[in-house]
Amino acid sequence: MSFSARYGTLIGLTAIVALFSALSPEAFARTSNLINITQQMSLLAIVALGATFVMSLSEFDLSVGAVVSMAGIVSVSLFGAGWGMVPTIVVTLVAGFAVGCISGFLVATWRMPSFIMTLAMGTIVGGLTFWISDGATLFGNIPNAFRDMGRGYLAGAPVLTLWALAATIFAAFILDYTELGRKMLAIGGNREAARLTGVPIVPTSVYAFGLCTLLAAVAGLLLTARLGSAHPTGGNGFLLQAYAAVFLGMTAFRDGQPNAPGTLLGAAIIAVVANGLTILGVPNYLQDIFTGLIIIAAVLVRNVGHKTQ
Amino acid sequence: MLEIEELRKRFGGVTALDSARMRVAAGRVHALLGENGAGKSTLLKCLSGVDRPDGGTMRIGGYAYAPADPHAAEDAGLRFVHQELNLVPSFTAYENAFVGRRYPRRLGLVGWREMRARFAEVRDRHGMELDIDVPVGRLSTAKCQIVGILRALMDEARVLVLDEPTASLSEGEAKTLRKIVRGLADHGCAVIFVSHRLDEVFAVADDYTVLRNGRTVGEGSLSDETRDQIIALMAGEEFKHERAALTRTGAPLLKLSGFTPAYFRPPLDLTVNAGEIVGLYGVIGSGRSSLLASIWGANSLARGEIRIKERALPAAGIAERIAAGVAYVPEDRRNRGLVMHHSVLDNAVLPRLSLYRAASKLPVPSWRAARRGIRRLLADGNVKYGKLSDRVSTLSGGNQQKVMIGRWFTDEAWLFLLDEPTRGVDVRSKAEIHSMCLRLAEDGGAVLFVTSDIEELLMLAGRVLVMAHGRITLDAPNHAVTRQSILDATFHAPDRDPIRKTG
Repeated sequence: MSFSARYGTLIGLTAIVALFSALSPEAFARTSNLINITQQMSLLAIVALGATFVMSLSEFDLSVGAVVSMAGIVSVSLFGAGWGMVPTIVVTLVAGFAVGCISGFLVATWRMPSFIMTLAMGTIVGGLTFWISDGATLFGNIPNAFRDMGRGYLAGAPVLTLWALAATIFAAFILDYTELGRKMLAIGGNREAARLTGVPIVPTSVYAFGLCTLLAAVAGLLLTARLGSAHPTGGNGFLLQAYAAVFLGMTAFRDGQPNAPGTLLGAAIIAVVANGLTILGVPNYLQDIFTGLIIIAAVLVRNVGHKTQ
Repeated sequence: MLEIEELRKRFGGVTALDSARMRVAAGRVHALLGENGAGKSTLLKCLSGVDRPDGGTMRIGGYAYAPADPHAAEDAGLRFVHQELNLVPSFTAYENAFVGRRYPRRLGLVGWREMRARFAEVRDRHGMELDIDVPVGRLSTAKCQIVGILRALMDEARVLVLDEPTASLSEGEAKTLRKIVRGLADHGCAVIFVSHRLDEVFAVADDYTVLRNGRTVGEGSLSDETRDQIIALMAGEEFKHERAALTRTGAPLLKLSGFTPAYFRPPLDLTVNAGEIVGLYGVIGSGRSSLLASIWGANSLARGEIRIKERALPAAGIAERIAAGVAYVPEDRRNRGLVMHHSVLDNAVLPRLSLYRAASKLPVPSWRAARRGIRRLLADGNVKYGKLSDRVSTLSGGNQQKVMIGRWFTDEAWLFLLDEPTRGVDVRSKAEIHSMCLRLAEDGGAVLFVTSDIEELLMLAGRVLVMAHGRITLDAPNHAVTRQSILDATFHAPDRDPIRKTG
């Protein structure tokens, strides 16, 4: 794999940062703003890292947005019912993990298209979330210790940024340094070849989908901690951006494969573009158009690279 | 109607056709015969305009014929019905017939009524029975074949080519199809019929052409020939190379009793002993590949008893096979064997991930140990590669094949199931793969391999098995078989009793 193929996307991010710095040296290029970007991208990065697991199977999980929302509502409801911090977090994470496990099991055993299957699962989860919350934003009595998980600084860095870094290390470890991760990538590369080589399709898929929604639930908890409230559709906006980040990340570091550092880079590109354009006073709808164009360009570059191999 | 003279075709260094001749008359059914690799498919591809011959002439109705592409073949009045019909399952018969054809229009929209009427007319003209209003996915295989034939006959056909039309049919269905083929010839069409069922060839065809190694070695009227004469023509001279010796055999490693790849297939008994190299020959569709995959546990329809080293295993389940020391290499490297866009290392390490753990209880591979182990494994298999991180697709076909086989060559595996281990592989790699097999057998392992190549079968296999119609029709040591007896078993009629073990 050539240097430009490996680091092209990273160079692209550097160029975007340099461009915005030149256009807005006072506002964009300030250290405080750059640190702020790492915080703005953190939740997206965590959701996208989860999506990286299912993308490594060459599948989709479209329920991640709904799971982010669900995690917020479930946790605030439990706090409201007087639960302590630890049991609340544990139950929320287990619930998030379970959603993916169910999807993964159904997709792998019955060979249902994951796109449809998880769209349905996301709809069900969204419905349950509405049911629990009655459609309202929940405030509950969220403990301060919980809120501190999503705000403030630790050793000079925003805690959310640190969470995103931890999630990146976790995902990179699973994908590159465990048998589970190698098996997921093998299934994604050639399902039949993986099966005939003895890779267990069902358990591997269950774990991949489970890890995906587990990270979505983590993001939901952190979002709630940051906002101090939970809205039944509060996390839905993450879905498309998360997959955009994974796709962008597949163009970096690894030969067209989903990978954790790449996903983090993808999330960074999306966040930098959003932040930079906002500072330059570009209206929201143009930001969407720019983000879309960047994704198309990245996928094009990747496909052209594949063909010339 | 159709005359082919001196047709030649080479692919790279391989001669596929070398002076092939064939004369097909209108109103006759003409059987095109030959063992695997004799050149039948290449001849048909030249005829259909898929491949361009390197030399020779083809004439249709007295006029020179040199199709540049399949459309030209169609314009000349040739119609092909391949074994793979490529029908759209959710479409009805008449919708399928119009796929890729100009739809009849009515006020600029698709004229459904006319479409149906035109297809029904073709069906009735040929006197076939077929419900054309249900999706073809709900039709039997035989009815689908009829759809395929009718689709080919939508326009006037001068020559109809049926490539293995009855391979997937039951005996009753095949009989119906044969009647239809007869009827088509009586309509004045010239029919070329490729089949591996010799009894059926004698039942339906008038004339024959036998190809061997790309040459026409016999032609004429079938009424002058016997089955044995035809087989002798296909087999040709005796094998010239050195034959595999019967390896000394030890305890049974694999034992099948009443085992079947699927409940509708006949049950099989088979034992493979330590030190044996067993070759399994048969035409495509004879059940050899599905037997091998089922022994591997990859087939959830498999039933019956399977023992590996005396230990009973479930009829399906790959993990149990790996744990028991079995290795499997599928036929289709690209789609079923390797993850082509992953690295050499990733592909090589996949079946044995747990062998390279950082700590024995921790499912975390040590990449350093993996690299070291895989380098040694690939060196043992004489695999030529650049870096371990290169995509496996950058390797030559022979080296890819050696990766696929060599990655199982750890001390843990001693029964190898190889499906066409040397197909599409250069001569050198082929010899290396053969020596890998011999080494394994010498060390007390065993190999069960499938091949379509009689030469390879006789060169490598100490014991020869032949399958036809899902049954084992020959099981004998290498020295007790001839090309002729192998082909005789290959074209075994489906209704005869299976031959019991002879040696």
